[in-house]
Amino acid sequence: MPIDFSNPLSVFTLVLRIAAIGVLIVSVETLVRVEVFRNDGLMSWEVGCLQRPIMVRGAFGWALDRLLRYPNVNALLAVRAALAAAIIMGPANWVRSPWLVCPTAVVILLLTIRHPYGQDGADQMTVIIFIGAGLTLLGREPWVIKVYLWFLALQVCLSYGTAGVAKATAAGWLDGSFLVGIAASQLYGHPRAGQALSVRPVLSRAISRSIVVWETAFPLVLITPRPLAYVIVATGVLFHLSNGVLMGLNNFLWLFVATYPALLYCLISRGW
Amino acid sequence: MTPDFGPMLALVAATLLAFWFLLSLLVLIPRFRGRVRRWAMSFLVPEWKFFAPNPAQGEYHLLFRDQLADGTVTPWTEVTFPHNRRWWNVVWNPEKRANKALFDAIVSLAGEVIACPAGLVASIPYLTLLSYVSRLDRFSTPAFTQFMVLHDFSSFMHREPALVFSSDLHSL
Repeated sequence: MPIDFSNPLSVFTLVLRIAAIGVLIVSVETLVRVEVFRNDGLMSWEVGCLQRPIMVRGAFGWALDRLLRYPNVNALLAVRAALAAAIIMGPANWVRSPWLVCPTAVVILLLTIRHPYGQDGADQMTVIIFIGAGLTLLGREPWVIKVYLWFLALQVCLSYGTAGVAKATAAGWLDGSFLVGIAASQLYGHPRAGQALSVRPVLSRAISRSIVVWETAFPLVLITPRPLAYVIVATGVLFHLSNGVLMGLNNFLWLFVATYPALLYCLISRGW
Repeated sequence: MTPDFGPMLALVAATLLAFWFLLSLLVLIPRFRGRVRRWAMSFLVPEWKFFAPNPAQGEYHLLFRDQLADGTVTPWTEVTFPHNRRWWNVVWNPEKRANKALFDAIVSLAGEVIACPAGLVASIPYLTLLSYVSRLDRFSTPAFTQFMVLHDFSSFMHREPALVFSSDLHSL
């Protein structure tokens, strides 16, 4: 069935369903590699709880400890996976229900605060999407959904724009050397891409500058005539797809692309 | 008659979303960054850097060695995780969490070494790495352990790995 991008409720549902796919994947990924959350793992609660005094003090600290210590955290991961599956496959009125979205937001928040390391921009976008959606549904008025969709569109524009401007100030991004360094790294690199870019400085400079220009100019999508704006949004999908293949950033694909229906809604609702 | 709180709740929700976005803008202004960071947690108001302006170059390596009860010191052993990029990582990449956690801890430790050397041993990155290497499986039963972080540029520069940090011996 085609999606009506002028209908805020349909767009809201689509945003949450796409984002929930990313949440489900990351939940299952974590469950199959849960050793990282164990007390002998790199994201142990024994160390993570020391981030702030409030996390170990009083009734709040006690409750956090019961929820986030290993192996109890496994149950929280399973609950997050189940809630995400319900959002993906459940009927639309489930996705618009605070009884499903608010618990999902709370579980996501708990797992986010558990340890300061091991998280990336996709996890941050998860928080923005689901905490924002929870707030929106508590608002209970249809017009708050429109505010939420604009909020998401502005957040995604801000994310790309900020990163683009920051890159534009670095000589290494303009000459392509940083891109070669990332492509050659073990964590985010790709052996063949790294090798190919390291011997083709003109190509790496061209790709690097294209990324800088694309990210910096992305916020203009909100004031660009619609056909061109659609092209910019489509290039965003390709951008995250290539980052998934080359850098292993699979969740950026789902979590950032989940905000694109909100962008499309904004493009249509602005009236020109 | 039950009062209708709907319009008020809607107004509160919309105001919170607007305020959240305002904080997301303010955190980008150096003058307000510190205050916003203290007030809101970083996961609520991210700075969206995406490898900018200067991505970490080269590789960081975490190594550890033990001192046994008889005083013998074992050779340095590197902590490694699977890294091979596969085509299916575009949909399924369960290894990234541990790799990123190790990377974050090491980069944070490198920052703490410069910013706050006095409080280093009580810092989260130090405790994360010490706790982790202390509990790794071993063939022997050591009395003490020590860890070290190296920064290696060899993949694109012909330079020896540089020592970022070496811990004291810690009792196990």
